[in-house]
Amino acid sequence: MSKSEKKIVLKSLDNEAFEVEKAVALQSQTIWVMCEDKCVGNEIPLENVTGQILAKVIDYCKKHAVVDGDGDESSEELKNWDTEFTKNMDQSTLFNMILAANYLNIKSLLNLTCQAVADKTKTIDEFHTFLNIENNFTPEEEAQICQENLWAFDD
Amino acid sequence: MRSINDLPDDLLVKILSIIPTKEAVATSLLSKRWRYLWKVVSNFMFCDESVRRAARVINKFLLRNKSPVLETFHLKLTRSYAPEYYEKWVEVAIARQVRYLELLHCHGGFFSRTLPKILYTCQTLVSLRLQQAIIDGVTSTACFPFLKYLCLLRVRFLCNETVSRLLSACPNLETLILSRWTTTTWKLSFSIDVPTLQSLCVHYGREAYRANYCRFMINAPCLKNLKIDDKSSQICSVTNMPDLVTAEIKLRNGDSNLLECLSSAKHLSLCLTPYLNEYLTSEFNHLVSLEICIICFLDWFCPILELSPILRVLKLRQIHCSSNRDLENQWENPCCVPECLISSLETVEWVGYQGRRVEREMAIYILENANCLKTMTITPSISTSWEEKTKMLIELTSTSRCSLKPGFSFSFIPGSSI
Repeated sequence: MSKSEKKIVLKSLDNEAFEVEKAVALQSQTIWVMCEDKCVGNEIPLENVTGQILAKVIDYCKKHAVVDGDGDESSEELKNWDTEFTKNMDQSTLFNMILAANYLNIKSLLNLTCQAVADKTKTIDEFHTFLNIENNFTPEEEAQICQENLWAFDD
Repeated sequence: MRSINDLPDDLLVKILSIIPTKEAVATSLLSKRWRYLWKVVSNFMFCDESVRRAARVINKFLLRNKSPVLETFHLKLTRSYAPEYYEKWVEVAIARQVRYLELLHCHGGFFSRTLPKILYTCQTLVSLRLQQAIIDGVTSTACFPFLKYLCLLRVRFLCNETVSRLLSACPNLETLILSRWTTTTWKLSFSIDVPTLQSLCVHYGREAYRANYCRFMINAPCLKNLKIDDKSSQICSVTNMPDLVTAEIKLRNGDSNLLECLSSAKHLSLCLTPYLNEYLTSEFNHLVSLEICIICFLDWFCPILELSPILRVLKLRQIHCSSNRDLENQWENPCCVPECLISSLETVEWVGYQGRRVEREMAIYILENANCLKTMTITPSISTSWEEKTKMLIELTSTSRCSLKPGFSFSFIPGSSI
């Protein structure tokens, strides 16, 4: 394979272009399918992802790409890297990352980002405050749900 | 600015399926959109600790949740429930084609619950973890065609055949973790005969009687990772494992060809006494790091170094070994310097160094003959007094390497002392 065939250009929603190794990009099932489809050239437009998010996704994929003959990065190290990766992400970025991982179909990144949200929301109060969800129930409805699901709340 | 409400329902359900089930149900109170989402979550993860009416919660969940398939069913039980309940839960999970099943009893004492027989009919399982279970009556029709991961913690097998019958029902098993735990004193002997196995870990539960001697045979030619921590047991037969990468073995004895079968490994950690009539021939051509217990492995130290031409890291340990042999022997320099000392050994770590003659001579031999040595770290045994430590340090640093070689670092970690 020539050098140019090994590279691929990903273009974000806001027209930012990223040149990456094919092995890095192909962790996305969506990109993999697009590459299989011969009509697409060397440049792949990703209409649902902004440049800012795509850059982060590429960081993740680079870290997780299996480079030939270099599989020595321990799983422990990779895990720590993952934790650091999501640790300081603000909420908005985190949800954008979930949407991007879902759209690009990168299973491990989707799991990681969903896990990061789950880790920050252990109790119902955390859900309300962290996720900023507005309660749109009437007091009657709320009482009814409490009654319905009493078995889970009662301890 | 994104909020969680921008995520489609299937992603919200995915997040809900990661959090413990009780919290997932509680999200029904968040807003109208969330009210019924938990009902399609396909995971059930529940621990009964500090839950008053736990059986009711499990029953209600299984009744109200509408997901046609239960991907995950994890129960961690710290109390005992009526066997009918237990059987019912397993039955419902199986009816919903469970793939990841975990039934963990975490009771004190020797409590264990007989596994419902219906489990042996669950063909959808991919992963199964059991704790404090009695495994008995594995039917000849039992079959887990997709099972890749099997973890049996503190399980009791009522007879030796149960083990082989259970394993032969798993034609695609890749990982087996087995911690044996029996209160009976008869001799267990079982065979781990799984051609597809890649990772095997055997250890004995701390509660198992030391006297509960066990012999096992391993026939797993595809094994990549092997870990055995069972000082009251013996391997009596093992097949060649050409794909082995790491092996960590603490055993009372190994059979006469155990070391030969480990010769493909890249990383080895050994604490066992090989039979003395053993004659080592295979070269450890891939071995990069070796950790050995110096007490039970002393006689094998030189032969194994001679057979490991590319060894880079050597760790010597002198702790937690039940062998009661003393180290009063003399050190005999090998007739020629092993190749790894000449061309590859870079790091030596010695923990539990006591400064006896044989140890001192060994350490000095390494210091003087290992050409590429970059670091040597010695941590004396905690029972060493300050005076002895000072003496050790002087003895070791007086060798020519410590004073002359550039790019070599010698560390002596005295730690605290009594």
